Amino acid sequence: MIFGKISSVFRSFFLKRKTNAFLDHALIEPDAFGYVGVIQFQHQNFKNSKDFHTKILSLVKVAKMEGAQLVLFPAGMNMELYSVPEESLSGNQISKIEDECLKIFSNIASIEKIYVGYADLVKGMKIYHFINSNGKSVEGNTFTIYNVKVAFMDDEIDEDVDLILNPCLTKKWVGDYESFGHAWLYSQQKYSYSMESYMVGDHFTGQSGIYAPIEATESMSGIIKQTQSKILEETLVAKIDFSVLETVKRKKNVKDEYARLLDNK
Amino acid sequence: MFRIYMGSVLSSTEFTKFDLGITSDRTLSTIGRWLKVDENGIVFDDSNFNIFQRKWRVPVTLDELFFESSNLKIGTLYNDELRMRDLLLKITDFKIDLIVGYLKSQSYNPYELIASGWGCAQTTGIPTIIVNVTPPENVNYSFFLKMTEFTDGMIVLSDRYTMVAFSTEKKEYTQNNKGQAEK
Repeated sequence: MIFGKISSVFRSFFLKRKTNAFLDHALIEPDAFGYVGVIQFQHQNFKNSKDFHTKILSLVKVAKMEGAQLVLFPAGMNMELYSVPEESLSGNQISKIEDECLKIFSNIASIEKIYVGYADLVKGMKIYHFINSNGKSVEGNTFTIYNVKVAFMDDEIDEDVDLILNPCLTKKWVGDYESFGHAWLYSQQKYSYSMESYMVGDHFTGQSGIYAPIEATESMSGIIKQTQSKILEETLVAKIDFSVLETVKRKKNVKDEYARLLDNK
Repeated sequence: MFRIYMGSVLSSTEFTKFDLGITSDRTLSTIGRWLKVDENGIVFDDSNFNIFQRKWRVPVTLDELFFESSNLKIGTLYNDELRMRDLLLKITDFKIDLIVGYLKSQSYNPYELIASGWGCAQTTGIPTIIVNVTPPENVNYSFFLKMTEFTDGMIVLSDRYTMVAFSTEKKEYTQNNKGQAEK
Protein backbone atom coordinates (compact mmCIF):
# COMPACT_ATOMS: atom_id res chain seq x y z
CA MET A 1 0.00 0.00 0.00
CA ILE A 2 2.78 2.39 0.87
CA PHE A 3 4.31 1.85 -2.54
CA GLY A 4 0.97 2.61 -4.18
CA LYS A 5 0.84 5.85 -2.29
CA ILE A 6 4.41 6.73 -3.11
CA SER A 7 3.92 6.03 -6.78
CA SER A 8 0.78 8.16 -6.82
CA VAL A 9 2.71 11.01 -5.29
CA PHE A 10 5.33 10.72 -7.96
CA ARG A 11 2.78 10.36 -10.68
CA SER A 12 1.32 13.63 -9.51
CA PHE A 13 4.83 15.03 -9.29
CA PHE A 14 5.50 14.30 -12.92
CA LEU A 15 2.04 15.34 -14.06
CA LYS A 16 2.32 18.60 -12.24
CA ARG A 17 5.70 19.17 -13.75
CA LYS A 18 5.01 22.23 -15.79
CA THR A 19 6.29 25.65 -16.30
CA ASN A 20 5.21 28.18 -13.79
CA ALA A 21 3.41 31.38 -14.31
CA PHE A 22 6.58 33.29 -14.92
CA LEU A 23 7.20 31.71 -18.29
CA ASP A 24 6.18 33.83 -21.20
CA HIS A 25 7.71 34.86 -24.44
CA ALA A 26 7.69 38.59 -23.98
CA LEU A 27 10.51 40.59 -25.46
CA ILE A 28 13.57 40.67 -23.28
CA GLU A 29 14.43 44.01 -21.82
CA PRO A 30 18.03 44.67 -22.78
CA ASP A 31 18.96 45.80 -19.29
CA ALA A 32 17.25 42.98 -17.38
CA PHE A 33 18.25 39.44 -16.70
CA GLY A 34 15.67 36.70 -16.45
CA TYR A 35 15.85 34.11 -19.24
CA VAL A 36 18.05 31.11 -18.57
CA GLY A 37 18.83 27.97 -20.53
CA VAL A 38 19.99 24.52 -19.51
CA ILE A 39 21.53 22.11 -22.01
CA GLN A 40 21.19 18.38 -21.37
CA PHE A 41 24.14 17.45 -23.55
CA GLN A 42 24.46 14.29 -25.62
CA HIS A 43 27.89 12.73 -25.08
CA GLN A 44 29.62 12.18 -28.43
CA ASN A 45 33.45 12.13 -28.24
CA PHE A 46 34.13 14.61 -31.03
CA LYS A 47 36.71 13.79 -33.66
CA ASN A 48 38.00 17.36 -33.73
CA SER A 49 37.46 20.67 -32.00
CA LYS A 50 35.79 22.16 -35.08
CA ASP A 51 32.90 19.69 -34.83
CA PHE A 52 32.67 20.39 -31.11
CA HIS A 53 32.55 24.14 -31.78
CA THR A 54 29.79 23.67 -34.36
CA LYS A 55 27.76 21.55 -31.98
CA ILE A 56 28.08 23.93 -29.03
CA LEU A 57 27.27 26.92 -31.25
CA SER A 58 24.13 25.27 -32.59
CA LEU A 59 22.90 24.48 -29.07
CA VAL A 60 23.60 28.01 -27.85
CA LYS A 61 21.78 29.45 -30.86
CA VAL A 62 18.70 27.32 -30.11
CA ALA A 63 18.68 28.46 -26.47
CA LYS A 64 19.26 32.07 -27.49
CA MET A 65 16.41 31.96 -30.01
CA GLU A 66 14.13 31.06 -27.11
CA GLY A 67 15.45 34.03 -25.22
CA ALA A 68 18.21 32.59 -23.02
CA GLN A 69 20.74 35.11 -21.73
CA LEU A 70 22.67 32.56 -19.68
CA VAL A 71 23.24 28.96 -20.75
CA LEU A 72 24.47 26.16 -18.52
CA PHE A 73 26.25 23.12 -19.94
CA PRO A 74 27.05 20.00 -17.86
CA ALA A 75 30.29 18.89 -16.26
CA GLY A 76 32.88 16.99 -18.28
CA MET A 77 32.80 19.14 -21.40
CA ASN A 78 36.58 18.76 -21.78
CA MET A 79 36.12 14.99 -22.01
CA GLU A 80 34.23 15.49 -25.25
CA LEU A 81 37.57 16.37 -26.84
CA TYR A 82 39.47 13.36 -25.46
CA SER A 83 40.60 10.98 -28.22
CA VAL A 84 41.86 8.45 -25.66
CA PRO A 85 40.89 7.74 -22.02
CA GLU A 86 42.05 10.33 -19.47
CA GLU A 87 44.50 7.84 -17.90
CA SER A 88 46.42 7.78 -21.18
CA LEU A 89 46.80 11.57 -21.30
CA SER A 90 49.63 13.52 -19.72
CA GLY A 91 48.96 16.51 -17.48
CA ASN A 92 50.12 18.78 -20.26
CA GLN A 93 47.74 17.22 -22.78
CA ILE A 94 44.82 17.50 -20.34
CA SER A 95 45.62 21.21 -19.79
CA LYS A 96 45.78 21.84 -23.53
CA ILE A 97 42.37 20.24 -24.04
CA GLU A 98 40.92 22.33 -21.20
CA ASP A 99 42.29 25.48 -22.83
CA GLU A 100 40.89 24.47 -26.20
CA CYS A 101 37.49 23.86 -24.63
CA LEU A 102 37.53 27.22 -22.87
CA LYS A 103 38.55 28.95 -26.10
CA ILE A 104 35.56 27.44 -27.90
CA PHE A 105 33.08 28.45 -25.21
CA SER A 106 34.59 31.95 -24.95
CA ASN A 107 34.40 32.43 -28.70
CA ILE A 108 30.75 31.38 -28.80
CA ALA A 109 29.85 33.52 -25.76
CA SER A 110 31.37 36.61 -27.40
CA ILE A 111 29.79 35.96 -30.82
CA GLU A 112 26.34 35.28 -29.39
CA LYS A 113 26.66 37.84 -26.57
CA ILE A 114 25.54 35.32 -24.00
CA TYR A 115 26.73 34.18 -20.55
CA VAL A 116 27.91 30.57 -20.40
CA GLY A 117 28.60 28.24 -17.47
CA TYR A 118 30.06 24.73 -17.61
CA ALA A 119 32.57 22.50 -15.81
CA ASP A 120 35.54 20.45 -16.89
CA LEU A 121 36.25 17.18 -15.11
CA VAL A 122 39.86 16.34 -14.39
CA LYS A 123 40.58 13.20 -12.37
CA GLY A 124 37.06 13.31 -11.01
CA MET A 125 37.32 16.94 -9.87
CA LYS A 126 35.01 19.61 -11.25
CA ILE A 127 36.63 22.76 -12.57
CA TYR A 128 33.98 25.43 -13.02
CA HIS A 129 34.03 27.98 -15.83
CA PHE A 130 31.88 31.07 -16.09
CA ILE A 131 32.19 33.19 -19.23
CA ASN A 132 30.61 36.61 -19.59
CA SER A 133 28.85 37.91 -22.67
CA ASN A 134 32.10 39.45 -23.92
CA GLY A 135 33.69 36.03 -24.00
CA LYS A 136 35.84 36.67 -20.97
CA SER A 137 36.36 33.89 -18.44
CA VAL A 138 35.43 35.22 -14.99
CA GLU A 139 37.50 34.08 -12.03
CA GLY A 140 35.93 33.05 -8.74
CA ASN A 141 32.82 31.23 -7.65
CA THR A 142 30.32 34.08 -7.42
CA PHE A 143 29.33 36.41 -10.27
CA THR A 144 26.94 39.26 -10.92
CA ILE A 145 24.66 39.58 -13.93
CA TYR A 146 22.55 42.78 -13.92
CA ASN A 147 22.60 42.89 -10.09
CA VAL A 148 21.67 39.22 -9.86
CA LYS A 149 24.09 37.19 -7.79
CA VAL A 150 25.02 33.91 -9.45
CA ALA A 151 27.22 31.16 -8.02
CA PHE A 152 28.24 27.60 -8.69
CA MET A 153 26.77 25.15 -6.16
CA ASP A 154 29.04 24.87 -3.18
CA ASP A 155 28.43 24.53 0.55
CA GLU A 156 31.04 27.18 1.20
CA ILE A 157 28.88 29.94 -0.29
CA ASP A 158 27.95 32.22 2.58
CA GLU A 159 26.51 34.95 0.44
CA ASP A 160 22.82 35.29 -0.25
CA VAL A 161 22.83 34.27 -3.93
CA ASP A 162 19.88 34.46 -6.32
CA LEU A 163 20.81 31.78 -8.82
CA ILE A 164 22.82 28.59 -8.35
CA LEU A 165 24.51 26.73 -11.21
CA ASN A 166 25.14 23.00 -10.91
CA PRO A 167 26.83 21.39 -13.89
CA CYS A 168 26.84 17.59 -13.36
CA LEU A 169 28.13 14.56 -15.23
CA THR A 170 25.74 11.71 -14.49
CA LYS A 171 23.36 10.36 -11.91
CA LYS A 172 22.28 6.86 -10.91
CA TRP A 173 18.67 6.21 -10.04
CA VAL A 174 17.51 4.03 -7.19
CA GLY A 175 14.02 5.55 -7.28
CA ASP A 176 12.05 8.43 -8.77
CA TYR A 177 12.75 10.29 -5.61
CA GLU A 178 16.20 11.28 -6.77
CA SER A 179 14.66 13.62 -9.30
CA PHE A 180 14.42 15.96 -6.33
CA GLY A 181 18.15 15.87 -5.68
CA HIS A 182 20.91 18.40 -5.59
CA ALA A 183 19.90 21.73 -7.12
CA TRP A 184 16.19 21.36 -6.32
CA LEU A 185 17.01 20.78 -2.66
CA TYR A 186 19.47 23.67 -2.65
CA SER A 187 16.68 25.94 -3.94
CA GLN A 188 14.47 24.86 -1.05
CA GLN A 189 17.13 25.44 1.58
CA LYS A 190 18.72 28.60 0.21
CA TYR A 191 15.60 30.20 -1.29
CA SER A 192 17.33 30.72 -4.62
CA TYR A 193 16.70 29.73 -8.22
CA SER A 194 18.89 26.92 -9.53
CA MET A 195 19.93 25.34 -12.81
CA GLU A 196 21.23 21.78 -13.11
CA SER A 197 22.63 20.25 -16.27
CA TYR A 198 23.62 16.64 -17.03
CA MET A 199 25.52 14.73 -19.70
CA VAL A 200 23.40 12.00 -21.31
CA GLY A 201 23.87 9.21 -23.83
CA ASP A 202 26.30 6.29 -23.89
CA HIS A 203 26.50 5.27 -20.19
CA PHE A 204 25.50 8.72 -18.91
CA THR A 205 22.03 9.47 -17.55
CA GLY A 206 20.58 12.52 -15.87
CA GLN A 207 17.60 14.80 -15.56
CA SER A 208 18.39 18.45 -16.00
CA GLY A 209 16.16 21.19 -14.69
CA ILE A 210 15.49 24.74 -13.64
CA TYR A 211 14.23 25.03 -10.07
CA ALA A 212 12.89 27.52 -7.54
CA PRO A 213 11.76 27.49 -3.93
CA ILE A 214 8.36 25.73 -3.85
CA GLU A 215 6.76 28.98 -2.69
CA ALA A 216 7.91 30.69 -5.91
CA THR A 217 6.15 28.26 -8.25
CA GLU A 218 2.47 28.19 -9.06
CA SER A 219 2.36 24.38 -8.79
CA MET A 220 4.11 24.56 -5.38
CA SER A 221 6.55 21.93 -6.62
CA GLY A 222 9.69 24.03 -6.96
CA ILE A 223 10.08 22.80 -10.52
CA ILE A 224 10.04 25.44 -13.24
CA LYS A 225 11.19 23.14 -16.01
CA GLN A 226 12.69 19.66 -16.12
CA THR A 227 13.78 17.51 -19.05
CA GLN A 228 11.36 14.83 -20.21
CA SER A 229 14.12 12.34 -20.96
CA LYS A 230 16.96 11.04 -18.84
CA ILE A 231 18.94 9.81 -21.86
CA LEU A 232 18.27 12.21 -24.73
CA GLU A 233 19.58 15.68 -25.49
CA GLU A 234 17.21 18.51 -24.57
CA THR A 235 17.35 22.26 -24.22
CA LEU A 236 15.31 23.98 -21.53
CA VAL A 237 14.70 27.73 -21.48
CA ALA A 238 12.63 29.49 -18.83
CA LYS A 239 12.03 32.97 -17.57
CA ILE A 240 12.74 33.39 -13.91
CA ASP A 241 11.41 36.37 -12.00
CA PHE A 242 13.78 37.63 -9.35
CA SER A 243 11.14 39.94 -7.86
CA VAL A 244 9.10 36.84 -6.93
CA LEU A 245 12.19 35.39 -5.30
CA GLU A 246 12.64 38.59 -3.29
CA THR A 247 9.05 38.35 -2.05
CA VAL A 248 9.56 34.73 -0.97
CA LYS A 249 12.84 35.61 0.72
CA ARG A 250 11.20 38.47 2.63
CA LYS A 251 8.40 36.19 3.83
CA LYS A 252 10.82 33.45 4.77
CA ASN A 253 13.46 35.70 6.22
CA VAL A 254 14.11 34.12 9.57
CA LYS A 255 17.82 34.78 9.37
CA ASP A 256 17.72 37.72 11.76
CA GLU A 257 15.78 35.76 14.36
CA TYR A 258 18.23 32.88 14.17
CA ALA A 259 21.40 34.92 13.65
CA ARG A 260 22.36 34.83 17.31
CA LEU A 261 21.80 31.10 17.53
CA LEU A 262 23.81 30.39 14.40
CA ASP A 263 26.62 32.74 15.33
CA ASN A 264 26.94 31.04 18.72
CA LYS A 265 30.08 28.95 18.53
CA MET B 1 16.82 -2.10 17.54
CA PHE B 2 15.07 1.06 18.61
CA ARG B 3 11.35 0.95 17.81
CA ILE B 4 9.41 4.17 17.32
CA TYR B 5 5.65 4.33 16.98
CA MET B 6 4.13 7.38 15.28
CA GLY B 7 0.42 8.12 15.46
CA SER B 8 -2.47 8.47 17.85
CA VAL B 9 -2.36 6.84 21.26
CA LEU B 10 -5.51 4.90 20.39
CA SER B 11 -3.96 3.29 17.30
CA SER B 12 -0.81 2.42 19.21
CA THR B 13 -2.60 -0.56 20.75
CA GLU B 14 -2.10 -2.37 17.43
CA PHE B 15 1.60 -2.46 18.15
CA THR B 16 2.85 -4.64 20.94
CA LYS B 17 6.00 -2.93 22.03
CA PHE B 18 7.91 0.20 21.17
CA ASP B 19 10.61 2.28 22.82
CA LEU B 20 9.27 5.74 21.96
CA GLY B 21 5.89 6.99 20.84
CA ILE B 22 5.48 10.18 18.85
CA THR B 23 2.01 11.64 18.81
CA SER B 24 0.17 14.88 18.25
CA ASP B 25 -2.32 13.91 20.94
CA ARG B 26 -2.33 16.48 23.69
CA THR B 27 -3.22 14.21 26.54
CA LEU B 28 -1.95 10.74 27.32
CA SER B 29 -3.43 8.08 29.51
CA THR B 30 -0.84 5.41 29.00
CA ILE B 31 2.52 4.54 30.36
CA GLY B 32 5.67 4.61 28.27
CA ARG B 33 7.83 7.22 26.66
CA TRP B 34 6.02 9.71 24.48
CA LEU B 35 6.93 12.80 22.56
CA LYS B 36 3.65 14.69 22.60
CA VAL B 37 2.31 18.16 21.91
CA ASP B 38 0.86 20.70 24.31
CA GLU B 39 -0.14 24.33 23.91
CA ASN B 40 3.39 25.55 24.69
CA GLY B 41 5.33 23.21 22.44
CA ILE B 42 6.46 19.62 22.41
CA VAL B 43 7.07 17.61 25.53
CA PHE B 44 8.93 14.40 26.12
CA ASP B 45 6.93 12.48 28.67
CA ASP B 46 8.50 9.47 30.38
CA SER B 47 5.59 7.78 32.18
CA ASN B 48 4.11 11.10 33.27
CA PHE B 49 7.46 12.69 34.12
CA ASN B 50 8.01 15.59 31.78
CA ILE B 51 11.73 15.58 31.28
CA PHE B 52 12.06 17.72 28.16
CA GLN B 53 10.13 20.57 26.66
CA ARG B 54 10.74 22.69 23.61
CA LYS B 55 8.50 25.73 23.34
CA TRP B 56 7.05 27.05 20.08
CA ARG B 57 9.70 29.71 19.72
CA VAL B 58 13.12 30.46 18.29
CA PRO B 59 15.60 28.68 20.57
CA VAL B 60 18.04 30.79 22.54
CA THR B 61 20.73 28.11 22.50
CA LEU B 62 21.19 25.02 20.38
CA ASP B 63 20.94 22.84 23.50
CA GLU B 64 17.24 23.68 23.60
CA LEU B 65 16.81 21.47 20.55
CA PHE B 66 18.10 18.21 21.99
CA PHE B 67 17.23 15.60 24.59
CA GLU B 68 18.32 12.04 25.35
CA SER B 69 16.24 8.98 26.04
CA SER B 70 17.51 5.39 26.32
CA ASN B 71 20.88 6.42 24.93
CA LEU B 72 19.20 7.96 21.90
CA LYS B 73 19.89 11.64 21.33
CA ILE B 74 16.96 13.32 19.63
CA GLY B 75 16.88 16.74 17.97
CA THR B 76 13.64 18.67 17.53
CA LEU B 77 13.03 21.18 14.74
CA TYR B 78 10.02 23.35 13.89
CA ASN B 79 8.76 24.45 10.45
CA ASP B 80 11.28 26.71 8.65
CA GLU B 81 14.11 25.31 10.76
CA LEU B 82 13.84 22.09 8.73
CA ARG B 83 14.95 24.02 5.64
CA MET B 84 17.59 26.22 7.25
CA ARG B 85 20.73 24.78 5.68
CA ASP B 86 23.06 26.65 8.05
CA LEU B 87 21.23 25.30 11.10
CA LEU B 88 21.11 21.76 9.69
CA LEU B 89 24.82 21.77 8.99
CA LYS B 90 25.47 23.09 12.48
CA ILE B 91 23.50 20.44 14.37
CA THR B 92 25.44 17.62 12.71
CA ASP B 93 28.21 18.40 15.23
CA PHE B 94 25.98 17.27 18.11
CA LYS B 95 25.99 13.52 17.33
CA ILE B 96 22.23 13.23 17.13
CA ASP B 97 20.62 9.86 16.38
CA LEU B 98 17.21 11.10 15.26
CA ILE B 99 15.53 14.37 14.27
CA VAL B 100 11.83 14.90 14.92
CA GLY B 101 10.44 17.78 12.88
CA TYR B 102 7.08 19.47 13.37
CA LEU B 103 5.75 20.97 10.15
CA LYS B 104 2.55 22.97 10.01
CA SER B 105 1.32 23.28 6.41
CA GLN B 106 -1.51 25.27 4.86
CA SER B 107 -2.45 22.19 2.84
CA TYR B 108 -0.97 18.77 2.11
CA ASN B 109 1.99 19.24 -0.22
CA PRO B 110 4.39 16.30 -0.75
CA TYR B 111 7.01 18.69 -2.14
CA GLU B 112 7.02 20.66 1.08
CA LEU B 113 7.32 17.42 3.06
CA ILE B 114 10.18 16.29 0.87
CA ALA B 115 11.92 19.67 1.04
CA SER B 116 11.62 19.68 4.83
CA GLY B 117 12.02 16.02 5.85
CA TRP B 118 13.97 14.36 3.08
CA GLY B 119 16.05 17.51 2.66
CA CYS B 120 16.88 17.51 6.38
CA ALA B 121 17.93 13.83 6.22
CA GLN B 122 20.13 14.46 3.15
CA THR B 123 21.82 17.52 4.63
CA THR B 124 22.41 16.17 8.13
CA GLY B 125 22.69 12.44 7.35
CA ILE B 126 20.42 11.88 10.37
CA PRO B 127 17.16 9.83 10.19
CA THR B 128 14.29 12.31 10.23
CA ILE B 129 10.66 11.94 11.34
CA ILE B 130 8.19 14.60 10.26
CA VAL B 131 4.92 15.26 12.08
CA ASN B 132 2.93 17.14 9.46
CA VAL B 133 -0.16 19.04 10.59
CA THR B 134 -2.64 20.30 7.99
CA PRO B 135 -6.02 22.01 8.50
CA PRO B 136 -8.39 21.37 10.07
CA GLU B 137 -6.57 18.89 12.32
CA ASN B 138 -5.05 16.24 10.08
CA VAL B 139 -1.77 14.77 11.18
CA ASN B 140 0.49 12.54 9.11
CA TYR B 141 3.87 11.04 9.89
CA SER B 142 6.87 10.51 7.59
CA PHE B 143 10.28 8.94 7.99
CA PHE B 144 13.30 9.79 5.82
CA LEU B 145 16.89 8.59 5.62
CA LYS B 146 19.98 9.75 3.84
CA MET B 147 20.02 8.48 0.27
CA THR B 148 22.43 5.64 -0.55
CA GLU B 149 23.13 3.62 -3.67
CA PHE B 150 20.41 1.21 -2.49
CA THR B 151 17.68 3.54 -1.21
CA ASP B 152 16.29 6.90 -2.23
CA GLY B 153 15.82 7.66 1.46
CA MET B 154 12.05 7.66 1.61
CA ILE B 155 10.86 5.01 4.07
CA VAL B 156 7.44 6.39 5.03
CA LEU B 157 5.68 9.23 3.24
CA SER B 158 2.72 10.56 5.12
CA ASP B 159 1.06 7.74 7.06
CA ARG B 160 -1.57 8.31 9.75
CA TYR B 161 0.14 5.81 12.01
CA THR B 162 3.07 3.49 11.60
CA MET B 163 6.09 2.09 13.33
CA VAL B 164 9.73 2.25 12.31
CA ALA B 165 12.64 0.40 13.88
CA PHE B 166 16.29 1.19 13.54
CA SER B 167 19.64 0.42 15.02
CA THR B 168 21.81 3.43 15.67
CA GLU B 169 24.93 1.27 15.54
CA LYS B 170 24.28 -0.80 12.44
CA LYS B 171 22.10 1.82 10.77
CA GLU B 172 19.47 -0.73 9.85
CA TYR B 173 15.94 0.45 9.31
CA THR B 174 12.67 -1.41 8.88
CA GLN B 175 9.06 -0.44 8.83
CA ASN B 176 6.02 -2.19 10.23
CA ASN B 177 3.26 -0.37 8.49
CA LYS B 178 -0.30 -0.85 9.61
CA GLY B 179 -1.90 2.36 8.53
CA GLN B 180 -2.26 4.29 5.35
CA ALA B 181 -2.86 8.00 5.26
CA GLU B 182 -6.09 9.38 3.94
CA LYS B 183 -5.76 12.36 1.75
